[in-house]
Amino acid sequence: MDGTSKLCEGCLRTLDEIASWGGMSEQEKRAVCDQIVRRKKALELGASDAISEVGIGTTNCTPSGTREH
Amino acid sequence: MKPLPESIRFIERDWLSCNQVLMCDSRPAIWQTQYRFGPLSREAQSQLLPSYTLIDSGYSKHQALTLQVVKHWIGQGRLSRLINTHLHSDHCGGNALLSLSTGCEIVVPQASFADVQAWNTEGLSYAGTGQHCPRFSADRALKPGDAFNSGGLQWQVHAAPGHDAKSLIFFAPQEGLLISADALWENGFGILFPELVGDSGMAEQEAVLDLIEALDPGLVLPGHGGMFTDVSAALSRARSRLRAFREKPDRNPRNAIKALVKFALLDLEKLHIESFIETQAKTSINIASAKLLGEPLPALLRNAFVELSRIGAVRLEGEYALNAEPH
Repeated sequence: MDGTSKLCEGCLRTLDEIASWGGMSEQEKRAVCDQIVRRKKALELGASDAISEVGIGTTNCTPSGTREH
Repeated sequence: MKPLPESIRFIERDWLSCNQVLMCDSRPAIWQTQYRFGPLSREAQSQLLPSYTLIDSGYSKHQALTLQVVKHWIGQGRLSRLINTHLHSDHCGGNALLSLSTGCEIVVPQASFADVQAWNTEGLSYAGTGQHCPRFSADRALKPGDAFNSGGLQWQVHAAPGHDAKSLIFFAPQEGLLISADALWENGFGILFPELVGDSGMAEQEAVLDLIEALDPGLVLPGHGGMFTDVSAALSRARSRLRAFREKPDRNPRNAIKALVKFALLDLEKLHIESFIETQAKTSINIASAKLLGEPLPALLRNAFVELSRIGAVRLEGEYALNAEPH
């Protein structure tokens, strides 16, 4: 997990998303994947503020889980 | 899909770390605090918190994350027990850290108990595969025919040889829940390791699939991949895979060599190909696989990199191989 963004460096999910991924519906998983795409773009822009805008730290879009390096 | 009981969490991981199942074994006894004056001692407080059981602990590289995820779910509760389905490095790599940080007892298959206590890395497969697992010690053992209570359910312990001769699976008839480890995934099952070293694994795997069919679970929590309810479809995929192994005996050893290379890539992310081949060529499971195939191991390993790169599972850059994920 990255100390600043609180995201897994490999899969860009929050701890909550990683913990809950196994119990999520397909729809919930897709919502997380959409978030990941946005986070990736924000990270590419180097905008850590943008990361909080795209929802890191929020817990309304539950878990994650497949790849964490 | 029938939801999991509230007392059970399925923690889906990946192909380097196995999944975990976390079960709440007791509710906090809040009523005990209601007619009591004065503060509770620390010990009394801890008795009031719920206790949990974890099934399997993932690979060592992810051990800190495994601990974080467990803490995420148990909060102030305590992890009192960690039970392993089998002792491959991707199922018990977090044992040492979890036991150190939570004080949980470690329960392993009876057939592996002596190997754990003596830390026999060949018997436990770490030497044979070139994988890593931090040393831990076991407190208790489970064997086929035993039962244990967890998550408010009673779990039967069944033998599941095939992928690993000593593996166990757990079944809760009350809810029709099966913790299948690497004996059955939604799409396939784990490498048949016993076959690689000249023992039998296919007949055992077939018997395990028959056993699972007879148990007739409504929901399977596998060692890798998502949980699933269409068990008959999974069984028929597994059986056709097994049939293919029988028809082409080359498949299991070839898959094994390739899977162990991919595992190393997931673990190391970047490796020097020739150095890796030199090390891997000394490991017993790879040596045995090459012997079965009647081909030189270094060539088989080199070929594994080529085949993995063809499907986008590795990126080859000069002397180095970098882990990649197929899109």
